[in-house]
Amino acid sequence: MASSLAPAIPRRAAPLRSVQDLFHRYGAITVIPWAVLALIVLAAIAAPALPFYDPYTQNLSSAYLSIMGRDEAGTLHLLGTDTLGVDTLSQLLLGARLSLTIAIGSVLVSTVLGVALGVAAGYLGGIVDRIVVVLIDVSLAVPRVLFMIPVVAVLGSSLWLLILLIGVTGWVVFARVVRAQVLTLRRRDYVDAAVMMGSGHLAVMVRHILPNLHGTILVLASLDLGAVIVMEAGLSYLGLGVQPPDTSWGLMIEQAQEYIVTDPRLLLVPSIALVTLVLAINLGTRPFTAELRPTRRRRGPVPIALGA
Amino acid sequence: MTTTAATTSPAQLATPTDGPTADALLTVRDLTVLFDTPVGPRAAVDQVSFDVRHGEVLGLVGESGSGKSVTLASIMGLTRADTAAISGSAVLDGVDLISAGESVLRGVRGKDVGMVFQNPMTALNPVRSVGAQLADAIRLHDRRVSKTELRERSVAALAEVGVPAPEMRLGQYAHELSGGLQQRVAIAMALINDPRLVIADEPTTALDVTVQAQVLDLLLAARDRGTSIVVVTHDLGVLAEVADRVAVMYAGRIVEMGPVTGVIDRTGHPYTAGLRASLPRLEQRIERLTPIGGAPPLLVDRPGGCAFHPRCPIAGEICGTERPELIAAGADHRSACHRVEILRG
Amino acid sequence: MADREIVEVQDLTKDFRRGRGPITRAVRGVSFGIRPGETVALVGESGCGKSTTARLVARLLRPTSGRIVYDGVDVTRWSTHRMRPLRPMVQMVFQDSWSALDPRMTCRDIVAEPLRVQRRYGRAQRDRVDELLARVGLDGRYGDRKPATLSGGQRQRLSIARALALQPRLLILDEPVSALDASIQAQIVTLFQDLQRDLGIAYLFISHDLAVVRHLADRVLVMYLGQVVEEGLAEAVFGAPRHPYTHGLLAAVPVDHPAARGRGPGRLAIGEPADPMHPPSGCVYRTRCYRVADECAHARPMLLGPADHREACAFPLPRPLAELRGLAR
Repeated sequence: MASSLAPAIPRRAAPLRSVQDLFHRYGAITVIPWAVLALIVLAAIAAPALPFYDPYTQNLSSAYLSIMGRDEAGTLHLLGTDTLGVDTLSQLLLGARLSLTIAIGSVLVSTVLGVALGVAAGYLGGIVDRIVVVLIDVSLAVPRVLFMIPVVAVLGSSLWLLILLIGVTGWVVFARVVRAQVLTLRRRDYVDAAVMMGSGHLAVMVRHILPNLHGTILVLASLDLGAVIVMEAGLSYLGLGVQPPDTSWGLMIEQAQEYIVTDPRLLLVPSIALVTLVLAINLGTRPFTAELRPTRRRRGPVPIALGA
Repeated sequence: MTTTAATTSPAQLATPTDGPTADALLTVRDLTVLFDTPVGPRAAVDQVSFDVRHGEVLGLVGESGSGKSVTLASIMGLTRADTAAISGSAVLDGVDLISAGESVLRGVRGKDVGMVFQNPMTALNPVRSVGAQLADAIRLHDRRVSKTELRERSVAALAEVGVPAPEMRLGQYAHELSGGLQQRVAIAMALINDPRLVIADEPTTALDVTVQAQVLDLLLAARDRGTSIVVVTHDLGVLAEVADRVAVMYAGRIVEMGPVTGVIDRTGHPYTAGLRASLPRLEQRIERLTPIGGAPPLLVDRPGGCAFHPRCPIAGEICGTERPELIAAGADHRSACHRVEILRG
Repeated sequence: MADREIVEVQDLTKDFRRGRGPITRAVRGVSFGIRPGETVALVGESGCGKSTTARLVARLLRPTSGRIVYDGVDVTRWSTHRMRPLRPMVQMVFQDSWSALDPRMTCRDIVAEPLRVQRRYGRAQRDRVDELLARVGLDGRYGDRKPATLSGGQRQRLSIARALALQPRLLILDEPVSALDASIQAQIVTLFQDLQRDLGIAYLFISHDLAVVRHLADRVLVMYLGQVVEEGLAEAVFGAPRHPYTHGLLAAVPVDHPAARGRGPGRLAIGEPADPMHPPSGCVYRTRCYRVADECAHARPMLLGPADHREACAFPLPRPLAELRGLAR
């Protein structure tokens, strides 16, 4: 029967001509987080160029300065200083740089690893699939953070190691979801058509399977990003992540614990920053994860159950 | 003898007027369904009127975009109210189904009107047994039926549609049955409460030809027992097999309506004629088919005037500007074509 | 040389199994060949194995036993890599045009892909794409759009353009018009005829629609439960079929005209197609056969008769088509 569910010629998306168009298309709930994210990322990148940026110099005589406090040299500390006199804002920025680097790096590692294994398993089937499935089951049996603890204890916690570790332990979600989707995709006739042209397995996977996974990969990566940031903070809090004199938001939170009564600012600053970042990521990636949310009935041209 | 009818003035409008025809079971008048599209509201169903008479099989035939399925769905209240604006009336036994509330419709569906859909696999609940679903169909309309009676009636319903070993089937699930059996079960469910009207939307499309023949037999058997049937299809052969009267739909409107022999033999509309001419015949190999050029219009892209005119071999100037209304083209036979005499003459 | 079959399959068998479950024999002992320029049709109902057979001929599947021969060469066990230079010979058009076209590619890219894979680049490629689009009647303006913007008929045309890109000698058409509107079906069928006339391509046409098959096919194979039960020249098989299943199929096709209603012999095929997982013993058709006898359960009948019309039945009966359709006066 003719597919009367075929869409009418889709409206070509009107080009965005102004900031208002952006708000109109995506709504404030998405655009504002984007702005916040952009701000954080820019600040993190630009930090070393900023005049006041100095996350290492201690100055015990100007410790515990409050917001907008000035130290004895007359320098303004926008967010005050910590227990050792180090500028809090600089530490925040350093933390941002490190957290974001680790987060993006490890999500990349997880994505590449997970997608490659998922596609191979789903498309090639057979023994490759069996091996990957076993690997998935084994990885799921080992709690991720728990696994990282002894490794970090033994190998130390350099930046690269952290990225690699978090990345390598995070591939499973990607692989499972991608594999399931590939199982569907490979039965599409266009895959058969590609085989009939003489395409080899690799060519088909790269040219036909991978591009049709865009949406899925984006969704998974968005979700993973937020999770990894929190995970890194947790590791640092446990002393397994970033080490002094470097700092991360997790470490700042850990160090601020004992001063929660005397100087709550030390705890509030990194906590608010962390919450803001994760919230911004989760809200900002909502357009990509739209399919995951149950939709209200919407207006619009409708394919009804009985066709037209 | 059609020549007499054809010489009556083409201006003589023969569209059914307000009140329901005396011997009609279902009277549909001016049914219009508007959908919201990127280019504004469009009528998927445009002022459609027809009657379903007692004890007859009415075939509703059309292709994509004809609106035939939307018509059925709207009558039964299956279109989502927030996406479609429905107007017009569909009166069954004095009750207008279009303006009726959901509770009234629920009472009608499954009891006064049985429904059979295209894909039986999706019409049957995969996690409930056949017997449970048949019992549901009965109990929804009569709470007081005893378990024994439920069982008896279910077995009888299955036997009536030719399901072998009906007692055994009660415990089976949809996926354990073949496509043909599934459709039989679906038909049994539609018939179980002895409805006056059965609406079947492409009931044979997903089936093999030998099974299709059996399903059509079932529908005819139901008709012989007094049930009226509306069959929506794209297959002219199905019409030739079972229909008493036919309504041909194109681009949301009925373009021809009449007895099946009239519509097929002495067709009054170039679309129907073109469709007939373009189909290969089993009985005889034709050297070359004569397809209708172009494609059925999309909802958002309908031509002005007569929607068929860009594809019509006998289109004249008036066809591009003025929409044709249904006019007499034979005994109980109407066609919406400005140039119907050319077809006849 | 010119008469050698493009593709020949010998005694093909294909089994499927789900995990460690029971084996389903989808194709059992099918043999036929396709000569240049001819149209061979495989007809039958669901579960008869015609689609599986088509995919075996396309070498998308490997048979459990039997041979597949391309231009005289046995390619049954060849690897993907080895098959590559032979691929242009046999191409395929699929039933579901949604699934057959990669939604992320533009129309031009879809048609150009076979050329790219087979390393035919540059201006030659661009020109060839234009030529192909024109030949199938697709407006060049659709080139940069995605398949979702095309109608069903147009998508099928695009599929055909892609299939023609490598100048195949055989096109396998797997229910190419079943999913299309009636008024479009005729257009595509006519296109197939024109292409055959102009390019001399052979077709392997899979369909359940007997009227279309009658219109296009030179030879017909009727399949049931993985076996060929009747085969021969289309005129012979349609004109005076001998196997009870063919009788059943032809009698079941809806009439052309209400006047012919009920005049045929009625339903000659009883019940439903049997389950391929549990085929009946002896003649697999016996559970539906209106002429069944006791002997039918004992032995599986072989295809008997001359090449231009033979059947696998212990008690064949030629019946003219007109009689089966209720048209005999």
